[in-house]
Amino acid sequence: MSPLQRGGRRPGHSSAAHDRARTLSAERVDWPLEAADATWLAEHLVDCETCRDVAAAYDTDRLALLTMRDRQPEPPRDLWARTSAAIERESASPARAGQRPRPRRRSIPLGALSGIAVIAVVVGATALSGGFFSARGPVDGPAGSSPPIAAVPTSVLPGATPMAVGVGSVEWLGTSSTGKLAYSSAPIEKVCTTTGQPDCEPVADRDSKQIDLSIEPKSISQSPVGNQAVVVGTDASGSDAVVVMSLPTPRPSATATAPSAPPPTPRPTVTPTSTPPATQTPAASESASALQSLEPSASDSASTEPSSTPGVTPSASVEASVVPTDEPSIVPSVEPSSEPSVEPTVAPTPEATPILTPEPTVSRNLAIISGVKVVGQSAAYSPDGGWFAFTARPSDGSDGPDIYVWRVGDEVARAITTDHASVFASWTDDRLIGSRIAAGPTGDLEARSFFIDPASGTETATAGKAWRPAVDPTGHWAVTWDGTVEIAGDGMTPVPAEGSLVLRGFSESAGVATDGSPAAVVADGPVTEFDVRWDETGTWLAVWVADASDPTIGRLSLLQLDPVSGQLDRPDGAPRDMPALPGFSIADGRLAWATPRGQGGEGSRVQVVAWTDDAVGAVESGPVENVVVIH
Amino acid sequence: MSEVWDHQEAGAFVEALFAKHHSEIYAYLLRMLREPELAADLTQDAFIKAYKNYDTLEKPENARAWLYQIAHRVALDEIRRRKIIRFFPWTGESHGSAPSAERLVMDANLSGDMQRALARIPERQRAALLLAELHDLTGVELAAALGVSHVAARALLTRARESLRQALAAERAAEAEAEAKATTSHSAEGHR
Repeated sequence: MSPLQRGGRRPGHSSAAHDRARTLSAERVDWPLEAADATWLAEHLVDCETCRDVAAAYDTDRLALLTMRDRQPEPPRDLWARTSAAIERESASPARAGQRPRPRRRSIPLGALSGIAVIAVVVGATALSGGFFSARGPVDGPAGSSPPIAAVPTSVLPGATPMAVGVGSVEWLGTSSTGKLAYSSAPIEKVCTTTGQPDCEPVADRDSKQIDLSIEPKSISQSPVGNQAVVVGTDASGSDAVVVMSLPTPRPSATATAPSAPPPTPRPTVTPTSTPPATQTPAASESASALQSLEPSASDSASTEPSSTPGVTPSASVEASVVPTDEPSIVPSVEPSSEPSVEPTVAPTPEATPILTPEPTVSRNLAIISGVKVVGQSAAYSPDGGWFAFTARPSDGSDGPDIYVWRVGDEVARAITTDHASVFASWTDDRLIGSRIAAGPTGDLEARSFFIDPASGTETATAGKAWRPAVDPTGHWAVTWDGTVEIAGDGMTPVPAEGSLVLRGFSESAGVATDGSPAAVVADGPVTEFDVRWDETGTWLAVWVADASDPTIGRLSLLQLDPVSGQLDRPDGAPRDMPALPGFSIADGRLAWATPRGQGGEGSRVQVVAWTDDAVGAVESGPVENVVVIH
Repeated sequence: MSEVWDHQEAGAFVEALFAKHHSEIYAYLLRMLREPELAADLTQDAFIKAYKNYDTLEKPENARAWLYQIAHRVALDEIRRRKIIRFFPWTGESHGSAPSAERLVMDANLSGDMQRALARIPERQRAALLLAELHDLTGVELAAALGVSHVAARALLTRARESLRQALAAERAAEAEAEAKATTSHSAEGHR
């Protein structure tokens, strides 16, 4: 049960209650509320005029939306002729002749696979009877009976069968066979389940390109709006630097399968006709009953946030330097002169060559800060891609950490706090959230969180004692450290001490709702460093917790959130406490991470778990040296 | 299992599917992308994908939701591709493109503040709203089309309503501000 649903307070006494009222008001537009929720909402709306306005707006906006039904656009008259001709071409394709349309173990695009032995597939998966989500267990409850899918050993499993997922691409950097750093991009179109035929296609890396980077990357964040990426890494002096670079543009996903052999061409069987048959238009549905008890007002009700905290004057404490480009500004790509003839290896041995031979590419890098030690794993772009935030301290240990921001297009990053005790937590809309430690009334260290406008540096305190809240994209929930904070062994970096990682309600006005019990415990036990990231829907999150004895590795879990109740689930088959290097990527129905090096000495592997409503599957790459997954 | 790809069966099936649903699929893609010619191209792509993936449809009675799922992915792929194309590199060089004349006409004639507000909200939320409200997908069909769980589809729709409310409020505020400026400007000219 959500903390919003606990307690006997009258509805309407907290920002969380208003948020809940808005959620329920929106929900009831589409389906009937449960009796208890309906009663609660009715009581709340009696006392809350703003919420009544919002509820009414949902209904009037819906009616306005429905008027678009009256403007049914007319498709082009030749659409069927074009479509059927395209289908005819498709059916005439040699790849389709005499085969089902889903190719079996087709060749990897070999132009990009030159020199590799790689990307092995493999998989483990669970196509659960009754569906992926039918046998979930609460986070706080007992673990599911199914073993973690990603724990399946790396080999082609008997019974593995591909599952189309179409979850976009996974990108990473790793050391190529030439010893140079290379960018790789693999579209994740199919993963394998454990039932059916052994028919899983290899992950096809189509975009391996050499990267010219002067630092050894530790973490890479890709802009949400482009191919720009920010790389945190170590330079030759041993200090950290943060470098902005342009990633190679991935090729668009293929819409047709390249033929691997020219079988006899069949006769086309789809004959274009000039006029498509009659079309059915969906009928309008009526549902304005909810309007009867509400005022038909669409007025907005944005609350004014307090701004009593004085603004912090940002000052860059570390000078940034522009890395000179050794290469000419434009270097033409060199395409392979001929297609390699090597067929992909489906089940590579650990000795397999780690990565494809990269193509030369262009990259101009900009060091926005150097001579620092980047703290934690929370560095991230803002949702609109206009800013990048991270935590850093001087590498000589002269000061504690501050929050830095870099505006896209600027030459340098700048410190936005100056107390040497602040860390970046996450973004929420166009503001960032930071946390710092300060002496409380009893002299003990206390955690405090605050909003900062990255442009002005204006700081706004939040209530409660949350530490490093990772806010979901909708701004309703946050995973935060709930406990004490202490100074780490370096004498200046605040880290979690006693407590647990929990899910709590969140609002833009008040921050983390720290009153009452948390909605769920995400992780407890010794936690020194953690990284929490949400998918774009705000219903899936992945949590990485560093190993207490070796923070260079950790454990990664995938969780599903019911945004209404705040219940966290671990669906059967979802990764749970999987060994993972720092830095993972969650988006579009898939989670990707790098495994620690194998016990036999082989390199790490990029592992991907993808899910649909009905099933979950996985694929992984072959060994890759020094791999860092781009998130 | 037979490995023979039955062109005739698949072709006939897609032709029937096209006859029944191409208009609504086109409407959905047009509302998502706001480019008539692009929507036509993507409608074509969606039916080609339906043809190619004919064997993945387990139950014919789910064909409509399955087709919307394909169209939805086609739309998101296009949007994702556009985001890449529209990337403005930090070198300052612009690779962006201005809205087409078709889009401007469509925005002016067909949509008004609602269409602009829809364009402001995240594409997955926009898709959820369009599919639920204008294309009459049931909860189960909506989840299938969006490729998410039923719970996630409901959450997406709920968030979409809030996003639309805020976007409409912003559109109306901008409209009111523009009108106020126009009135002030007109008044000033009248006093000259």
